[in-house]
Amino acid sequence: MASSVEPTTPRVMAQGLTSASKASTARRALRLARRKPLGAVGLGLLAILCFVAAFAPLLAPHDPYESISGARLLSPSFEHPMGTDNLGRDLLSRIIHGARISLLIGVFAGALGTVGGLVVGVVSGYAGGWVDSAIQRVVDSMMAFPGLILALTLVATLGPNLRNVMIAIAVGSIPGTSRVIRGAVFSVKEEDYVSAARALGAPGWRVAVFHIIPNVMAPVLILASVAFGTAIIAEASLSFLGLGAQPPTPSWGVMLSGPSRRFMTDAPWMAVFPGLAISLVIFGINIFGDALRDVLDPRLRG
Amino acid sequence: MSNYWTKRRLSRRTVLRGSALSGVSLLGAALIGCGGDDDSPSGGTSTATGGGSGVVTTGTPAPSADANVKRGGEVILAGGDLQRLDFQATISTPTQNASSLVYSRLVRYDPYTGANDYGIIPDLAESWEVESDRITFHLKQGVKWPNVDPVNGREFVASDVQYSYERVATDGPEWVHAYKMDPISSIEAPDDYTVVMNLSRPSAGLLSDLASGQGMGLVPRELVEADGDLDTRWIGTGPFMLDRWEQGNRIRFVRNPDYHEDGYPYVDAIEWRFITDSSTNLANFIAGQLSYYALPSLEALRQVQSSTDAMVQTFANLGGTHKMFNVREDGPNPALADVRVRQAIDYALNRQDILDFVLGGDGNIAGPVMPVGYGDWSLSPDEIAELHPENLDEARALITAAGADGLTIEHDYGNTSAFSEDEAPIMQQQLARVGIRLELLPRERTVYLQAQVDGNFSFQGIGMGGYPDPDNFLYPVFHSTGSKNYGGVDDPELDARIEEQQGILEHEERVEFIKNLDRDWKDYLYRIYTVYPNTHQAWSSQIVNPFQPKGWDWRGLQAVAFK
Amino acid sequence: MQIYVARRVLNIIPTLVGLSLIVFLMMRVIPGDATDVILQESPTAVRKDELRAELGLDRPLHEQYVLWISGVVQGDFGTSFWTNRPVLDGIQRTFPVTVELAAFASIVALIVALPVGILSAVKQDTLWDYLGRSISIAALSVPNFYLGTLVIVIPAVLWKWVPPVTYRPIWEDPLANLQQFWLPSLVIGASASATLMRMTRSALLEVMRQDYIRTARAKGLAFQTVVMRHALKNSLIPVVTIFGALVAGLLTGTVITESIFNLPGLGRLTIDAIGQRDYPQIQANVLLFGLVYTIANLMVDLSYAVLNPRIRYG
Repeated sequence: MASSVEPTTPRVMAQGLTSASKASTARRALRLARRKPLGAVGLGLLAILCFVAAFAPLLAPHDPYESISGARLLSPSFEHPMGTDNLGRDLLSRIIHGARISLLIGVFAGALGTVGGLVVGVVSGYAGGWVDSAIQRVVDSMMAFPGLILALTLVATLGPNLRNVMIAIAVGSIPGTSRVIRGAVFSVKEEDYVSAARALGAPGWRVAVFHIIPNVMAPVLILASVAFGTAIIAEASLSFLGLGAQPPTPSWGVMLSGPSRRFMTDAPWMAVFPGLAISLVIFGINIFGDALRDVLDPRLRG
Repeated sequence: MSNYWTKRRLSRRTVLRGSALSGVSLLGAALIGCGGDDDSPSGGTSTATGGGSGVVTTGTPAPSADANVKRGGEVILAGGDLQRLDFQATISTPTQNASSLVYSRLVRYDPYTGANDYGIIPDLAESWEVESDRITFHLKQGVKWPNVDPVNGREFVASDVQYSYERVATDGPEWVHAYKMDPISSIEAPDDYTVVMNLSRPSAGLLSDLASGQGMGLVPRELVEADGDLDTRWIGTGPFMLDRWEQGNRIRFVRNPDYHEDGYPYVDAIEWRFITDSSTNLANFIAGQLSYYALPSLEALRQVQSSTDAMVQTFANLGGTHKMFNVREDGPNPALADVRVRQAIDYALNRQDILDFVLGGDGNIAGPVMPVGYGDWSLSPDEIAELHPENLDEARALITAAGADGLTIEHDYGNTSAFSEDEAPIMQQQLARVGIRLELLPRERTVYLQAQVDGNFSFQGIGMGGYPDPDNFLYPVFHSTGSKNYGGVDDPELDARIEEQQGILEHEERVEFIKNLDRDWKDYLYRIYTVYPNTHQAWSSQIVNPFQPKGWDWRGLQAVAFK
Repeated sequence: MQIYVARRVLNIIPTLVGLSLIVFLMMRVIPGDATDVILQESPTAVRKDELRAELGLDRPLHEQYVLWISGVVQGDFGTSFWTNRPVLDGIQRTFPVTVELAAFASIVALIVALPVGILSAVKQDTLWDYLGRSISIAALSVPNFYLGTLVIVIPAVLWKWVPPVTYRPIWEDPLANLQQFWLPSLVIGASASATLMRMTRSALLEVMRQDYIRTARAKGLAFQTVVMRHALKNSLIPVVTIFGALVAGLLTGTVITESIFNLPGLGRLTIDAIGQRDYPQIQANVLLFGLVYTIANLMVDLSYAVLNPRIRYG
């Protein structure tokens, strides 16, 4: 089936991973960082995100929900380095707390979607036969459903809040992810070690869990990194349409949509900083993902 | 001056009872009394000719069809898309607004008075007599329908009025304006130019309803019979004709060459562009692409003032976001059925803070039912502040007295309401000070609408527009049989008071009655009113004869021209 | 080959049927229905049930589905709950807009991405490469609507200029049409070109390391010839794949851009219809999206087969 987008063969990627694990991790990492400076930058940005998210309450100078009297729409100053919004809340504090939410969304929605795709892809690819055909039919139909509209419908059904947004994003990414994994499973299925395990009488699920899954980790990791970024942008898009996390939650997507657009000409910092934050994080994730792909696919190595 | 004025008003009043006299804008200079800048009939005024409604107007004198005005050009406005074209069977505001250009009514609002002044002037009815059991209209003669199939240029007659309003009163869920015909028991057309509406009860607000652009356009029978509805073609006696409706894009009108008011309209075409994004709208106005724009905020106003030389005007908006309680004993939160709890909430709010944070101070504090700036009907801002102060101790005492300590209330609102989105967190903070926990629940708009009608809410933010008559703020919303009584209000005492004000045809008396009801509102508080925004509107400096759109009536566009 | 094509075309049908079921059920699961929206703020809102019956929403689900589907097969997609006009009217009005936007954005993407991608690959790991990759990732990272908003508001404030907001079909008034479309096309084209550029680069890199390319270079063929004639042709396959996916994605994913630039396209119509719970309109639109997507995939697969005769799927 040729409809999946697979630029590199997962089998080869899988080989790259196993051989790489033999070298010392730390030395390998350092070598990589030097060879792939962009990837290191990306990782650095993500590390900053994690740090800010983890220590948000300590780092934020003000309460992100507190409307400070007389502080409406103040431009950036020493007191409020990123200015304040239309309800008198300190923007810097909201951005810092927003990092938590973005991290949460990226990790959970991304992980959920990837794990879901992994399960579906492995089941479909390994089982083969009519099970595979049936699942693929459903996947086909779901992929034909425009992504944003699917997510929107799910959120409308469940109710617009952060948790449901994550579920909707995850569900929306499962079909596409499962396709890629399924392709990987097909390749790995034919490997000797798999046949050996089956010949030894291992039951299907054991083979799947202990032999198939570990050997498709390369595409899984890459998909996960992509999913992280996609989830953050998806949440921002849904918030733009009013169906994401709801105010007063300081999610960057929420901050980028509603009031910031209303006050765009008067208080541009309201939109500039959240937009910048999202862009930086996505940028980091993307270049990191790039480097990851380069590393895990030895054919592209120098 | 005031003697002359008072004398005139008195004599009018003895002749005409039940004139639907609405208030005078506070922002217009003079109240009832002097002013001296209006009734003098200079160059065509806005007062009624012949027997009239006793209208009191202030503000700019109305233009008359002046041969020196430059003809031609296109007026471009921004607005929402229409739902469907049949304005008698839909509530959609853009549809109503559009219909006011193509269809005439019996009477209409004076577009040259203040924004909240709903003075009535003739349209196709030249004069009328209002009595407690009937209203008689005398129609203008020689008005012709356009010369197209199926009306073929025939004259407009009384039976057209009969037909139109009978259609409005059709029984069915989609006929959303039928309730306005409730006081009318029958409509007769004794001759071609006389219409008699027999009333089942005296109605102070009926004339006002008939003047509104909401569903009241007069339609020809042949059109509806040919097409089955008004969704396909529009044929009316108004100054413009419908050129095309491109859904999602724009609606366009062109001059009606056979319009019965000579000389009008001046411009060749009107176009409403459906731009949903407010920052796009603003950008377009600043760039000179729009002739008129109702600005959404103070910041937008400043932007317009600094970037253009547009004519801007600020006035109090009669519409705002009310906070509605579900007071049913078996509702989701029975504690709210206790008026003391509602009073506590009212006392816990600091309206000035809400005004400052949510609107940047650009608006008015509210409290009683009638908003500030509603002509005669409003209490003064000082009195309102006195009646609805912040009093945390009192709030706490009331809560304890009602046995509602540690109360949690769910506040839901539609997630498209920018106002609620901003106000809710502030209210949350304020109520927390007296131990009330407000949980915020933004809902997707359709789910919110469903919850509203089905009564699945406790304390809901509900937007309501401005209406021409105080009865619109009271009867549908608070009367036990009111069609928009979503909160389940069933208060016989309030019912009686509402019914009483409906029958008071004498203006002064009615004003006093309404004000007293407002002063007592603390005893009812079925809805809490926090603040109302101001509205700012901007007319391009290229425009001559700007007017005040009000009550879904944009007829003033007939006299608009370009420099 | 014909059998393959025939099978793939036939496969579209069960996909669309599945899609129709999914959208039908999903819509009815969402709380609230068209009557809530049509009668909003109306005094007759309490009579919702009557309207519901008029619209046929009180019938059992399977009956509603069969009614709808049997109409669809005969070409009758039903009447919009909201406007009271045929659903196809809306599609006829809005689909050309979305197609045009997607087409222009694709062209922008191609024009920008191919040269930059090739340059990046050929000069791998040099400054040009890092620059190209960084810029394209930056373009990818900025949210669409953020860029779109900036692009509208800044010129308005600084130069009093806005892109035109009224849609004129390109066959009616080409100049006005292009004046409206060039900016949104660039905005979407930017991120699309970033994706395409990265794919072009990596595909070209992969091919350039192949043995037969090394052989050609060892034989002394000019680098230029090697790249242009051999490498490019063979790297086209994954590029075509992603381009097909891009176009399909563009056709179905222009919702937000349509909102910001006021383009009355299919995406916006669908979002509005969801808010209005206009089931017939939503269902028809989603089917159309699905059809577009599956046809795009089919074209990609077919071009696969054409570009590399070795790929055949029996």
